[in-house]
Amino acid sequence: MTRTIQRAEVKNKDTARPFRRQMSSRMFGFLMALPSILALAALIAYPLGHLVYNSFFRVSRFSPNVAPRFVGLQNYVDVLQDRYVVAACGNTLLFVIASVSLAFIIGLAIALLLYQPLHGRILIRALLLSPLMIAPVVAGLQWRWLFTDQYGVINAILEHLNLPGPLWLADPRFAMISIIIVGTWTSFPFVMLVLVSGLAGVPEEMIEAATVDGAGYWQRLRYILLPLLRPTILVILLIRMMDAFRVFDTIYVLTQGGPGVSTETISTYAYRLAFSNLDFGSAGAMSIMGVLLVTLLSVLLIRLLGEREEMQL
Amino acid sequence: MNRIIQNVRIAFAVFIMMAGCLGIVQAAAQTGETIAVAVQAGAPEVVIYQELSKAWEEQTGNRIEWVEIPQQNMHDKLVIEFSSRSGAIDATAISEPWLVEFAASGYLDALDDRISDEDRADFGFNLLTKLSYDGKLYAIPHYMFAPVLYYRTDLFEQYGLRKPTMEEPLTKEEFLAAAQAMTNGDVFGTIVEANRNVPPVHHMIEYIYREGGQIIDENRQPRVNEPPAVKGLQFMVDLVRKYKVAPPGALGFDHVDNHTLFSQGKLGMAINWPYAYSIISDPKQSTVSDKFAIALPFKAVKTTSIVGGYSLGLVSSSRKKDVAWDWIKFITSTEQLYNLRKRNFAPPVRRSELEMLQADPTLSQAQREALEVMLKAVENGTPVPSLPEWNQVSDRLSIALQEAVSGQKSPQEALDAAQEDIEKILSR
Repeated sequence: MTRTIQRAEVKNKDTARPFRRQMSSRMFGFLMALPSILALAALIAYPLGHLVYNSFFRVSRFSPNVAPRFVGLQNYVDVLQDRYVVAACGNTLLFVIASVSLAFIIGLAIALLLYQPLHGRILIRALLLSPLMIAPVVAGLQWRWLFTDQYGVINAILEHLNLPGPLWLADPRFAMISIIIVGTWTSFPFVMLVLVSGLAGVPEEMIEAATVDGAGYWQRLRYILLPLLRPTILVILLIRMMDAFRVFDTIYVLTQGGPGVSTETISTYAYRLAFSNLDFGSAGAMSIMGVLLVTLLSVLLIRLLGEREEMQL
Repeated sequence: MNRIIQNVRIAFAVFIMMAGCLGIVQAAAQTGETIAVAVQAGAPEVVIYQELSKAWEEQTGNRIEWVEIPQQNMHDKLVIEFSSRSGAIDATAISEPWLVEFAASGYLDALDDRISDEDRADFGFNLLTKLSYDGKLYAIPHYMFAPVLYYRTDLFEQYGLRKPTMEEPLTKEEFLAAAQAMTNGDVFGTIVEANRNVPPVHHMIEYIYREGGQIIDENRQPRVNEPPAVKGLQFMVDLVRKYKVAPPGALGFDHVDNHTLFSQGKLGMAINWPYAYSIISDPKQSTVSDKFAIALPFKAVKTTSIVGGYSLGLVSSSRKKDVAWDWIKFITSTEQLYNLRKRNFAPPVRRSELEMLQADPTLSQAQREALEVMLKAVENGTPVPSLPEWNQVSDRLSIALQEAVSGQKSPQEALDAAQEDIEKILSR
């Protein structure tokens, strides 16, 4: 009886989780991830696919009963021939390069400062994170009041210092500078936060050993800290670049792409095409080209920062 | 302690449930329908509508949910909403340049079967024709305007300048001379609006119209780079860059900055919409409430302004059209329009409304004179072109305006580029 029971127990144990045993672990993992995959498909893959599809059609808005017309690559041709698209691409690249570089430099400088044993560094870090917690639209509105030439705080301060206050938002030479300032202000806390975490992971023994060997601050920074932080820096630059490419809220609130088209970017122009003109075909074509551009830049960045890592290994 | 915390939790849960039940009971107690009306956020007349509409809500038991949209976003948001055909909005305020676009796109219901003959006859100034497309009426006017010249009477006296009259408005040369005379460190002679928005484009079009130019002719051909148009834009640019009689921040200004600066005493003259009259004449909002008057805009080849207005339309995707129409009829009735006009001074749209205003003993002499000027400006006014593609054309003109005023291009270059792009827009 006992042996039968034992055999039955063994048999039951074999079949206790028959489903799990029959299925491979890979399939099981896939099934567990399926809800997330479906959500991503609905939120990303479908809209992206629809966007690509629309980019090959032209809708006649003023004949709502007429079906969209297939035009092949005509929307792409029109976009490439549009003088304002060239301006938008140039402005976008300028904003990306300038704001990402500045945010990185400022974020790194502050992270290195907070790496030192300072009194109150936790409080300082918390205060410096505040731009990250403000919605971009709200930040844009705040800065609009700061930049305004007639009643703005910045020009009022400059006036007290007997310095000429430029037309921050109304002068084409300064409008993009203003956008870059705001973009840098909203994004440096992210850089600082990630680098602080990265610095916390640097082995202290290496720093101490270098110090004992006579390495100065800049040598430690250049030959130890920065190389060890390279993977973190790559992630920061990739994320910041993709974010900067998508800049919209700040520009929409501050300048609406003006003066003229001096602050028009890919996002703002695509928005105008899609939601002011309801020209989803051209907007789709422009958006796809933007995606290709940012993909190309990301690949270049990875190759640039990734290659040296392989060489070191 | 645990018991106290537990009791607090239970009490909180009961409170939440009761609040929820109260909401359900209140919702159930409402007997009428709720309609959604899209209006321009922050517009002075909207606040008045909301107050006046309370009477309709009490009479009918219906409710209005106000969908307030900032002016610069209103067109885009309405287009997205109406093209989705969700039925979330039942009635909407419409700026006149959008009427043809919305009607052609099928966003609005025709109103010919709803409006009475009596009401048709009562609306003046050919307004119902302007709000028609393809022979059908699509909106009911409630606000009509043509910009006028606001000027500082004290500064005109101080500098010995001729005050404009109805028969003899300022000439262009007199306007410039007055602006130059009044410009000192604290005050600018006038203002130019050039931010990337619709009202500044309308002002630019006015400058072009005053030189005898046009934007689109009757054959749908753009004419924006012809000499009169270039002359009009050149004058605007010169006011900022050459004569320096307008604040240099023109690229950031719109009509709100215009009335704000005038109310603060920073401007000698300003061409602005009639809505600003109520603000500038209010001592609580203006430092020059007793030191200004209005006149027709200056005359180059002719004196004219853009004549436009806001109207109310019935959204074609609405599921409560009868209720929405009932509200539109109420708010555009003679009595309610008269109440609106008393608090937000502007030209009347109905003949009966004009009669009520003229018979109103509380209207001051200054207001009567202002009303006469506003009506004359409407009579002299020229509408913007009626095109389904007007929003795109207007946006393109905005770029040209900014390029010229910022000095990136000369007015001729800016308008040449605009001409080319507008031809493409109209031929797509």
